[in-house]
Amino acid sequence: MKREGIKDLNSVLTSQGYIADKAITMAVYLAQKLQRPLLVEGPPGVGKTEIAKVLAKAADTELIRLQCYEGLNAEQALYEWNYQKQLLALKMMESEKLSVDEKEGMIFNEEYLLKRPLLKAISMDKSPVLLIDEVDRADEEFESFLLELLSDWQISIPEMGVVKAKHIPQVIITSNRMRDLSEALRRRCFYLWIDYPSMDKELKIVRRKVPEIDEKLGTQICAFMKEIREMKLEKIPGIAETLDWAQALAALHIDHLDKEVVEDTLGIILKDWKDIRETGLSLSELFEKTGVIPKV
Amino acid sequence: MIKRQTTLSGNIVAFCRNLRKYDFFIGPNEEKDSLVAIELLQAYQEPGMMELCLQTTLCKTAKQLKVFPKLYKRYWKELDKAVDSKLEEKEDKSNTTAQQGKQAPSIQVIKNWLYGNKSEDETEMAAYSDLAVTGRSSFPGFEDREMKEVFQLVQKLVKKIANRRSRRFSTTHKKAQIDLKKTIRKNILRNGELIEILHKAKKKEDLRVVLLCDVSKSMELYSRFLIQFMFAFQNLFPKIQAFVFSTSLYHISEELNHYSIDQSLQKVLDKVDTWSGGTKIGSAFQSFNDDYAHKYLTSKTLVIVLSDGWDTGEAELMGTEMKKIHRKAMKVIWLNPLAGSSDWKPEVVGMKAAIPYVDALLPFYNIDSLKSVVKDLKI
Repeated sequence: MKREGIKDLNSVLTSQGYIADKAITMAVYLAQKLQRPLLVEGPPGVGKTEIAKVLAKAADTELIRLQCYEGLNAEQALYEWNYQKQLLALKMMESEKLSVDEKEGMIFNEEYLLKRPLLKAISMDKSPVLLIDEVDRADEEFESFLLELLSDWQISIPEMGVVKAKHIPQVIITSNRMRDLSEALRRRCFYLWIDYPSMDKELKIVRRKVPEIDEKLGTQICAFMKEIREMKLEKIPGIAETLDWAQALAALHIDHLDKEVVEDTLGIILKDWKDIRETGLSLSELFEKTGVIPKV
Repeated sequence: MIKRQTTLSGNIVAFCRNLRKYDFFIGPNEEKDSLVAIELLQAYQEPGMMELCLQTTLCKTAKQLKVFPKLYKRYWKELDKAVDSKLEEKEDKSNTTAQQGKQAPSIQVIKNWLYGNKSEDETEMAAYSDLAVTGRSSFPGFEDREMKEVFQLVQKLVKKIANRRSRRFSTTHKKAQIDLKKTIRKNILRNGELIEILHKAKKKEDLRVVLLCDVSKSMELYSRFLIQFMFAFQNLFPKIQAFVFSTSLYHISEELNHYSIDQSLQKVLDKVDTWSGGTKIGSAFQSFNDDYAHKYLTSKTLVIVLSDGWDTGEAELMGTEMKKIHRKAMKVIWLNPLAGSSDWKPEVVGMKAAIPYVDALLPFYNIDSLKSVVKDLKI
């Protein structure tokens, strides 16, 4: 049965500490099998970037990360020429009688090329995982650079010609939906939307990542997070915050939530003072909803 | 209309064609992907797996992902029904026609008036409702001279917008940053002795503009001028998206793209059926954020709001929606006709809610004020 493949992938992800639901496993599996980039969207802190890290670890291969930002350009993402080295080479060639064309050919070749993440990713000996993080932060022009790479697995360098990929890397692209990505980019990728986890899933993640946590406390934390995400907050906490909180509380040897504990540690899950103030004010209500009875 | 296909691949392809109607961008490539995926996983043995396979290979946006399960179920259900006969898809058209029917008379009033049927004793009266007042607006013919002046001023404004510098570089003759790559190429001849040095400077920024114009009753006095302004802007600056709103929002860029202003105006009035009605700025902005913001708001978008801020909707909603716009756009400029008078203070509740998210608030009511906007606006 070929369907074993998908089960294997799921257990590999789980063994690396990544709890994936059906949709995630399917998307990753098909992206691997059909050699397509995987575009992952979702709110911050739900484990978009984590997928790439886990995949690299599982395949025991290198993770090449390109963090996008406004103004990111080809030199920083694809390649740049090593100008100092080129100048020195030209000096050394001074005595040789070479034509301009010959010299140009010598200094514009791979030896003088500084490989930036994208070029590096396609010229490695073992297929790496390429993480293009927060692609929505880069300019729209940058997306066009990506298109050639993602559909034909090659990069054109005007001075040298086309560099073809030695091995096709596994590409994970993440986006926070700051702006809409172009249709052209979307069409080249498989698409995955990761939302805030269900309580069950979050509890599984917490138990997996913070095994020392008290069972009751784990449940309370996840129930509390679920309610907090329903509130109108400036910054909704993600799984990363849940884990931080769980770790902190476990380290403090706390076995259940009470008002005092929550008040003292709210800063771990909420990163905006307004959120902290408002949550602080509606703590009793939150406790009621989560079924936790605060000790007076 | 769905015809029953006999093979699985036939059905998948037919399903893909069906999805295209719902704005899925599916080409042969996507169809191929889905078939390969199904084959790979032998998903035809298990309905759940099949759905997941198709979902993963065919959905490309969050929105598509959301509607996919429904479309999938509906398609196979229809297919079951389509054993022999051809089935006509009965979309819930009844709803929309009913709505149109309600508003039809009032649109007709404007249309009649527009197409020269200016009889004073109208057979239909504009209907009044809490939600929208549909009345007629008077636009006396636009004078060429006046229009020319607006054009000249907007031209200046456009120049200002178009001249913003970007982070990207291009070669220049001015003494700016050294372009090493080009310099080295140029000086290979001299064995790397850098004699001729090339420079690069930041390129012009590729800015976009979104225009949100209030055409409610309270703005009626200025409508004529606003239309001129929008028409000129649209014609001089191709990267603009123009919207008008009163109780709801209309995208009118296409309508403004005509040779003459009278023609454009006609098209706009044909489309907008709540001209000079009440104002619900908050909900209009909400529908902008829901439907258009993803497409048109980028960090290089200048948002220009033309409104007096009189709002009959919830001020809170207006605040949250303005905040969303402000966060996504490069800058939000509010041009307010009332801001011109010396004793004006932003005391309207809606305006108050919006002010924290406005980068510049300038008076704007006639050609003279446009002149000062052009002068004072910092982009």
